[in-house]
Amino acid sequence: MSGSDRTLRYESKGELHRDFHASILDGVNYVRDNYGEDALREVLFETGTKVYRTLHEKLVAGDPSELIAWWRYYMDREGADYSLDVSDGGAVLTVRNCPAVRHLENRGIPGGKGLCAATRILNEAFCSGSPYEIVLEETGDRSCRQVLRRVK
Amino acid sequence: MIPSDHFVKFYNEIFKYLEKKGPEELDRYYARVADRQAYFTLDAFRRDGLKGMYDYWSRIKVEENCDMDLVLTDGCLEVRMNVCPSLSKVLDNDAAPCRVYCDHCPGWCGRVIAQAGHFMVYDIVSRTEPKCVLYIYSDRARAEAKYAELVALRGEDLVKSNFACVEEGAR
Repeated sequence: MSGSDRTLRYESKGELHRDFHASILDGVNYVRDNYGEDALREVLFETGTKVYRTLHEKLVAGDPSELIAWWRYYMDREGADYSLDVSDGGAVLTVRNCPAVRHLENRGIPGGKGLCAATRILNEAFCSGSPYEIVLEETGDRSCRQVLRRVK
Repeated sequence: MIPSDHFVKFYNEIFKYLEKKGPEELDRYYARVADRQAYFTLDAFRRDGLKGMYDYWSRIKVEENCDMDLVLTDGCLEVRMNVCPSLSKVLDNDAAPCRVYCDHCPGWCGRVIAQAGHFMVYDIVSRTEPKCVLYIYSDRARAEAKYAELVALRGEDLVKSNFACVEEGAR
């Protein structure tokens, strides 16, 4: 895939406002702390299945192309140190230096790992009702491995 | 990772969840957002007043890719959002927008601006067009006059002030 990832529903351009990573963490913490884990799952499932409707529906139909394009596009855009290995059965996203956690650390904001927990739920939402699962393994303070594989 | 570009779409989902719980729940969340924004802005707002706010929104104009005009005159900063990237992203969305999406902006700005001892009047203009105008005054009487002028034009739903926050802080 080169240049524009045409399979993506949303392609952002221009500058980045990285402080939004803090806003995401705050939103996650606020919903969980005030309304509980089920509420957070509800909000993230709405995000994963409705905001990212096309990505989700493709996974349900057995097509991971938009998820893979989304990973690649936004990891590149955020300046992540990562690799993405795609195979017939799925893909492995290896993040060696997460741009979101890195930015929070640079801003002196603790609790960046809360973003990893939110990513797990978002991944679950993406894959709900689909033949895929994504297993996220945290491999260090700013690193993780996310394995997309077909399980049905 | 939710990309920073897509934060506002996630934000919109939080607002929809909270709106179902009641308007006071949204307001409570805006107060939490204000705490975070104060962490980023309040020292400069207090130290440099309207110029500190001008500098903050000048950075936001670049980082958030805003079509925005900033006008700083004696005692007033006008932040004129010609095309708001936040509402634009929420409208370009396969999920439905929260009806009161725009309220978060005066919801946090008003509190932080009040903590900095200034007065906010926020003209939302429209809930379906991505444009708005934020007025910040050093002087309360000027802010109250602008608020009255805008309410007469648009009605109370589209015009917000931070006068209650200022009074709350003064107690």
